Amino acid sequence: MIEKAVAGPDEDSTTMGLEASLNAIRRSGVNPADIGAVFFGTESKPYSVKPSATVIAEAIGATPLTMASDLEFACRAASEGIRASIGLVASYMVKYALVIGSDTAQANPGDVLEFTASSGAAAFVIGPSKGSVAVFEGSSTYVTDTPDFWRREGSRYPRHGEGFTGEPAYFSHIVGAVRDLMEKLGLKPSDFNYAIFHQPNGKFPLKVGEILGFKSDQLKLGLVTPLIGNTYNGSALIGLARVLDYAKPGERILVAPFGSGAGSDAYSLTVTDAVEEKRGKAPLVDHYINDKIVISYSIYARYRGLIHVVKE
Amino acid sequence: MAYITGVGLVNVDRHYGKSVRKLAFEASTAALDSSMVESIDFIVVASSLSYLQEPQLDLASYIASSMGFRGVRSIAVESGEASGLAAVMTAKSLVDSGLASRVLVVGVDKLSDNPSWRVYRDLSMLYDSESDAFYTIGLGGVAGLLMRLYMEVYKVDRHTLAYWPALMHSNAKANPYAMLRFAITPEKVLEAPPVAEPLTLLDTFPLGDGAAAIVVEGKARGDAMAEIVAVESSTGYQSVALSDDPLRIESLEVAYGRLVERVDAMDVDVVELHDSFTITGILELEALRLAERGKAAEAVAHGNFSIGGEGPVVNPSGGLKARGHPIGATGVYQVAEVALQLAGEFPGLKVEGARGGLAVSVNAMGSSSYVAYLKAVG
Repeated sequence: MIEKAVAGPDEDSTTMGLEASLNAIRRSGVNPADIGAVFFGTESKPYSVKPSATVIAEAIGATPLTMASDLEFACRAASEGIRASIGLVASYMVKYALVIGSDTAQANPGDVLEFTASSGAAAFVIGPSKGSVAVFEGSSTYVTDTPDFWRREGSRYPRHGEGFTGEPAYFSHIVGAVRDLMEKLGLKPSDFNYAIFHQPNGKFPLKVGEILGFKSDQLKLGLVTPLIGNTYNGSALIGLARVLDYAKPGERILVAPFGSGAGSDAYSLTVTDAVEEKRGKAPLVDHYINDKIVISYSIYARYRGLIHVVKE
Repeated sequence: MAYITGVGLVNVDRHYGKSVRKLAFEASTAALDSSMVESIDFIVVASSLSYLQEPQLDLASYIASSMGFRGVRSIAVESGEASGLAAVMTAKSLVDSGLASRVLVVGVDKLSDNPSWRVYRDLSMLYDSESDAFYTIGLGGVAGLLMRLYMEVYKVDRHTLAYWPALMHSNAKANPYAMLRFAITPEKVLEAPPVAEPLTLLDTFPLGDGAAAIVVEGKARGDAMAEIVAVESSTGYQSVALSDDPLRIESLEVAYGRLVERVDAMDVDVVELHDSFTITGILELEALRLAERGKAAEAVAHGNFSIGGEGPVVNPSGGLKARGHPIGATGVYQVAEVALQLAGEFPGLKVEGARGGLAVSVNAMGSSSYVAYLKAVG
């Protein structure tokens, strides 16, 4: 871990989600009115009740004839939206779907999570293969009732099971989903150019990659956590966005988000020619990574509302 | 006379899927199979944290009934970190006195079922609840203070003290029942996250679950693994602040002195001692007179207690540091490991031709100490 990204005092998961959505729409070239579903995956909603998905849908011009919903499943909420969107688009129920993963992750001050919990968002326009920058070959989801990490109603910060978040949660679910996907598609690790995993820290993805038979070179491009921290719903998805900033047509990508509670998805994507023409239409992930001001812990505490100010 | 005719061990690990009962059952059936006995008269259960965590009282009935032992005699022993050895002592007394002819001793504890803050809070109950535990800086904190004191008084550097954990890990690599089976260097010990400076994470025992069982019989059997010759113990102050010299584990010196009085000739070829922290292991070597005061760390670094060294082989299992320390079960692991060594059957690092061995448990930094001497049969 080198640095983590912190949302500014006037940002939240909705504002970051909107910025990411606008970038995705710019690249896609679609008319927002043709977006028929907006899924907002987060675990740090500004409102527990009042969907951020409608705020974004309205702001981009997709309303009123659209589906819109906020999803919850720790860090894989947005990914569930991606899987659902594949179905909605493939069945012709909607022309395009917009999926956003966005979080301003919080941790109890002093808890080990504070090192990595960060802020970020990624958004994807999902539509027909024609004109897409990458096409889904297949997808898989693996879930069980595993309480590795949770935040009780009314509690400010989540709690976790320490070592229990490792093998019984992160590793077993990612391995389960990826193996199911590779078996279904008849693929092996060497068939992929890139592998992107949920990245709560810099070590877990390398370890799960090793368990599955991937080489660390395949993971490098998509491993952003050491530079920006764990953006929760943005985690694997910002990694995917970064890979798409550099991937060549014909290359194959594995992406496997994970969410506590617990579950993992696995997707296989093949990159198309369209990626080269579309990638320059919005800022690259590296642009955002490099466009930064380093702040102290006290400013961070102020921005993240950790300092309790009694109003007179 | 008391003989060990069978042992059963569960590998120390975070057994998220196994309860206290399941772990005890696994170790017990393995011990009973290994001993080839069909029935036992008495079950002695050793555990410490289970009372607080399950939570459960009358643990002996809990374990006995879950194993289908209806009508068996039972007793549970709780003596902190030394519960296992205290239970072995109890079993020996039962057979020596004729109250039982065949006793199953099973030690079990789980440390992975609760968040670590809770485990450490429960462990701080090893200190005097009225005067110490309330203010406690914890087991690690006290060990850190003693390590710093040792370094200052004896002019020993941090690096020399790091050979101990490195040796434990090296030994555990071969032990299929050990929790941590990867090598570490003394440098890695120094670089590890600080727990209570100068103590680092790699100077402390890992939190794991385990269960170990032995069958103790009063009658000599041709195929007995070892004889439990004597078990002795002593209490000290349940507070390091009260001790005359915090760098002496007085209760262990007294217990060991008592043991030596009882036994005519002792061959100590192998020792399994209680290195809950690096400094505890070092001070125990000195209390057992295996090294001069202030010189144990150097002796370890020198290889004195490694296979082929001049002293007895110490902690070939990997000790509490690397085999693990499931609190109430630890003493039973140690006795089982020494018995396996004496029978030539230890599945890890073997001490060839071992004729006699010690198992040592110390509560906290010396609140009480237990030491058992076992010898080979035949």
